[in-house]
Amino acid sequence: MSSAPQPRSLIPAFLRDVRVLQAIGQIAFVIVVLFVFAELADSIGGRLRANNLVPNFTFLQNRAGFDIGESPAWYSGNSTYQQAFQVGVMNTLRVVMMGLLLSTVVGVLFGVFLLSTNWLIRTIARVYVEVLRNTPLLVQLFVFYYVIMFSLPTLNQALTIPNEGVLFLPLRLALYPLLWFAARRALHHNPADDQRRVAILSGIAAGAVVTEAAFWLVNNAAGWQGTHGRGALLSTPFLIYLGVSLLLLAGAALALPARWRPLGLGTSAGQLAAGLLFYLGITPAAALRFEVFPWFYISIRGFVLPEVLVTARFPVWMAFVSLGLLAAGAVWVYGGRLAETSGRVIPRGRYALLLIVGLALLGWLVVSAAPAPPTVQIEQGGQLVAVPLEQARADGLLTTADEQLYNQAPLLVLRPERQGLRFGTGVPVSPEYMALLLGLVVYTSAFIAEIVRAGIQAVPYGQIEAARALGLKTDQVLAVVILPQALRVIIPPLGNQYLNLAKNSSLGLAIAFADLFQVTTTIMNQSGQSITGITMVMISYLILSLVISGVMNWLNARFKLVTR
Amino acid sequence: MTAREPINRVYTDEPLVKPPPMLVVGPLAWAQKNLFRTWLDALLTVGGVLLIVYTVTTFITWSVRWANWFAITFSLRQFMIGRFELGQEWRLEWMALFIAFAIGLALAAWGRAQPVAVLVAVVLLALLFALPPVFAAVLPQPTAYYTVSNTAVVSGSVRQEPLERVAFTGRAGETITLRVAVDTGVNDATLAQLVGFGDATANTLRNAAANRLDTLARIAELERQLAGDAITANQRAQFTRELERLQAPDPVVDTYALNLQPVNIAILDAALQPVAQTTLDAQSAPFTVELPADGWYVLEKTVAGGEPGVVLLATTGIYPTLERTFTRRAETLPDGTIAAPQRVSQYVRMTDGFALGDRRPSSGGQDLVYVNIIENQYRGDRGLSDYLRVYLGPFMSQISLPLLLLFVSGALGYQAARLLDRRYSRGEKPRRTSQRTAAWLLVAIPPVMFVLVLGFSGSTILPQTDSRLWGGLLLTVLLTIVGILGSFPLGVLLALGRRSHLPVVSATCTLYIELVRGVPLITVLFMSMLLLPLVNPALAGPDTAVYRAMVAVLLFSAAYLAENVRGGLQSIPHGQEEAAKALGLAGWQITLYIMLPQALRAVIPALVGQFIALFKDTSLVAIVGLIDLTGIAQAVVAQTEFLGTRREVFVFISIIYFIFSYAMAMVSRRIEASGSGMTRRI
Repeated sequence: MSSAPQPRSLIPAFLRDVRVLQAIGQIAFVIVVLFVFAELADSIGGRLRANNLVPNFTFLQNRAGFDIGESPAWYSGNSTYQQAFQVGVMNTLRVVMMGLLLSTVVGVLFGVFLLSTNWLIRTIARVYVEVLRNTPLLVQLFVFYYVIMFSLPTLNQALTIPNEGVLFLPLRLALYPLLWFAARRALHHNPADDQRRVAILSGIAAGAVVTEAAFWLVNNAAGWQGTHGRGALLSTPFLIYLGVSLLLLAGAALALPARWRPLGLGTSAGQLAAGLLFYLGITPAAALRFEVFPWFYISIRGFVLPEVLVTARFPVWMAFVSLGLLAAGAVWVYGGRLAETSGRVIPRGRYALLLIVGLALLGWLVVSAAPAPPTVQIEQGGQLVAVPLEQARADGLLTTADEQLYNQAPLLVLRPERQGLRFGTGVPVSPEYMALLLGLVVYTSAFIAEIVRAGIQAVPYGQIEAARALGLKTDQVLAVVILPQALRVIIPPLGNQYLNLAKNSSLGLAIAFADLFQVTTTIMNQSGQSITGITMVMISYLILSLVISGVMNWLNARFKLVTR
Repeated sequence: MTAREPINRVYTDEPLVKPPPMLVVGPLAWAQKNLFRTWLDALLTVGGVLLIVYTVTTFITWSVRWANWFAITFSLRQFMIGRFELGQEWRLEWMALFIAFAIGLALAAWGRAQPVAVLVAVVLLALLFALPPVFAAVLPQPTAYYTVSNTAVVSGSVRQEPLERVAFTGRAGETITLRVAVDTGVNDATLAQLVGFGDATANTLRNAAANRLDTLARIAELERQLAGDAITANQRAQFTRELERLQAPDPVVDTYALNLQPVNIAILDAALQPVAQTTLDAQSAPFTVELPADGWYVLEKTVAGGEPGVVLLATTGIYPTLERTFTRRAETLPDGTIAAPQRVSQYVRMTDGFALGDRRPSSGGQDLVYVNIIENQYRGDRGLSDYLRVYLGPFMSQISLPLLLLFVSGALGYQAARLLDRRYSRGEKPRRTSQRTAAWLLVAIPPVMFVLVLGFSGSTILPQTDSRLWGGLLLTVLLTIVGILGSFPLGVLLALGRRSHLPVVSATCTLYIELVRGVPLITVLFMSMLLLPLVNPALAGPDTAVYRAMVAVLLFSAAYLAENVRGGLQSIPHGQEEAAKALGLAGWQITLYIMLPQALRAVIPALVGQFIALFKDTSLVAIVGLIDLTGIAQAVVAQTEFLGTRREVFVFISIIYFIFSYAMAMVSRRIEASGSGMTRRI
């Protein structure tokens, strides 16, 4: 068949080339986009100029003029907008870092619960996850803030942990473990006398329970005062008790099947012996008296936590701890190399931990052993007077700064102490921060729990069966077989949830927490610079997202399947 | 240990008769295997049971005894449709029925209604209808306490002056009973346990009695602690100071000479003419009055004797009311003039919802004080009877009819689908007709919704509604649907653009997607609220707020949708594109006919997931001032009548959000299980 002549196309060949068309198309696209943006910028710019609000960044040096609820000491109304923004960023980072850590912990915990063999625990975890995932975060934050934080008591009736009072530690509490372990050692040599061992140990346990119950009743129940050591052998209650106990003993000896007889005999004999000892007053009632002061205050004005301060001796101790970390690192690397080359099992983790803890403790002892200066200079009546250190401490003349200088320990842990309506020591945490943190942690943990469950269930069951067939124990199976493979599936969606948490922290605006978005809206309102404000906020969140996704990508690269 | 027996022993005896295997099958075996397998398990089970029991009983106790559910019952309209114009709700009702019909049809087309679920729904609906009249018939009416006094009642910094006339609403044929509350005014303990509606003075008396009892108890407690040894030195000093400060006042009953004097009672009608009057004292029988007609009445109460004193009256039939104002839309009157949108007042009685539009009775040119819910709240530890009759009953009767209509509509849709299939479907695709109809109906929902909600300007049947008045669940659903549908074209274009071979297009789309996904939704919302008015000043007013929020939600959702669609496009085997090219299809034809259908079908589960997430994220518009479901919750709590009802309101909206989200999640799971999704291989 002869080829017919091709019709001449009206479009020149140049314009029929796909690459040229693509280039023209892209140029047209760029022109359209730029044109749209130019129009927008022009109209927005014109309107802003008309209102005397040209977008610029120099306004950041202006005086802020507003107070921030949660700010460090250096911030005041006279600080600049830039400093206010910095405070907002710091607050956001505080919430996000704590939130990431806590939500991972709680999420993994509930993820494990979702896979539990216990039906009730599984159902409770399932209800937790479903309720939290299907309600909006804003509503949950409102509940945490307006319902839970606002129902906390006032400062004068604050919840305290532990409650202020007196703790009586009875001396006989030291006897029980002694008796128990002594009996176990003594009876250990006769494995054939299993029954006798069960009887004696259960007797000791029952006796301990009965004695403690009796002392609790003496202290707390009406009508039981004075029972300890009464010794009246003919009183009716005592005879009733004796009769019932002997009946129980007889019943245990005669009516119980052989398997349960040692346990029954031991328990009833033990409780009878303990009761008699208690009634005759032989059991000691002496106790040590400790005054207990609160370490945590929880009230509607917020939480107050104990304060940890560094003293003048902290750098020396830190030197010891760093030495320990270096040594641990060296042991880890060298031990790993030795194990790989020689094949010996070297518990390098244990040695490393031992080195860190040991050197830290050694450093603490060494630092604390150095003597304190005998006298301190206290300002009294306008003059510096040398007062002995112990006396100054007892008289309460030392301030916190003085303690930081003179105390022998490297770290000071200070209990929050109330001075009227303020706290002299102690770290205050605002209810807004707590509400935001709790809301974010609880919400994100529900998603993380689902991710962890899906990740662990994604490991083929054959892996677990093979691991068990090889003789690995349950914790070894978990650590060496399940976790690495599960982490491969868990890490990408986990990174996504971390990003969501970071972005959701912006909801602090709704509950008056001064995070970066809330501060920036105030800045925008006061200065009128909405464009610059929005730009700053978006850039900050983009940087935060980039950092988090960068870290998660690195982690993912470490755990993913390495294929050709 | 006994000696080992040889393994290959020949058994010559009968096998042992063992007891039945109780712990192998049955509920006990299940319990042992799942709840008590190990010691730790048993401990966890016990802990879990205690936790559940504690949570459930706390919630039920709070719900019955202390929760003020009036905030829900009397704001139901607001929660559902916001401040939508009065008289136009019929459009939304028809819209809801249409959606229910479509859902019923879709259920029949793609699924199957479980008979158990239908039975449970029918039983619940029957209960919703049957129980309120039963409650009203069987349970006694709640008591309302009013004080008659000729001296002021003081408690702390609160001072209540005597009130002689108070107006209340009543229905024709209702009976009012009044008697002196001798059982309540016996001593401070009974006074402190006053339970029922009570006016402000009764509440003050109650508080005074309760405070006195608390002070006495605190003094006794402090003395007990100071006598013992279990306190620190600091506490000792503190307690001693507190004990010196505390002083127990005289019994309230004696201070106010409670219930010792006779009182003159008169019931007047709205024109202040007496309907009935009498004198009551502590020994009188209860005084009964039957109201002649619907309307306002006035209770006039004065102390008959000359001595200063207070008398507590226990009444039934005089219950607090709520004043509610609606916006009636601007109407074009017959003569051509336009009547301004007017605010209409209604007085709604709290116990049964009886609504009255009349003006309040006035005396001397001033409206009389009426029994409003702000000062006459229900106080005290409520009993089950009052909870059922006053709170649960009215709520059930309010939601029973709408739920029944929705259920009937859904059932009609279900049956219609079955009917269509029986008549038109053939052979191997038995549900094809109903599936097609269902798809068309679901596609038709958004335009129908928009037409009904927005209306047309200048129309008389469907006049245009003010977007500022859209609120509640209506606004949430509107924002969600617009968010998903509006972002569909943009999202697909972005996904295709990102995968494009043209570097500029790809870079722009990637930039947009990553930018929008890297910032929170609240930022995009603020951007749209603040920057759009800068582009066009006409967009600055509150009437465009809803539209600006829709734009923000749309732009935000488009980026996430683009990522989902991109995932779907990536999951298509490369051979499809190659085969299409081999067949000579052009680029746009490959995208439109080969890639997109497969990609979209593959990501339907992800899309439903995004729908659910968007439904929850629309709650953020409450922060920018729109009154969606969360915003309405904040508005209701801010009302004076419902101050302090945060818990109840947030529980209610959480339940609504949960029901919708969980239903959608179940649908998503069914879709995934049916095989759609990326697990499908062609």
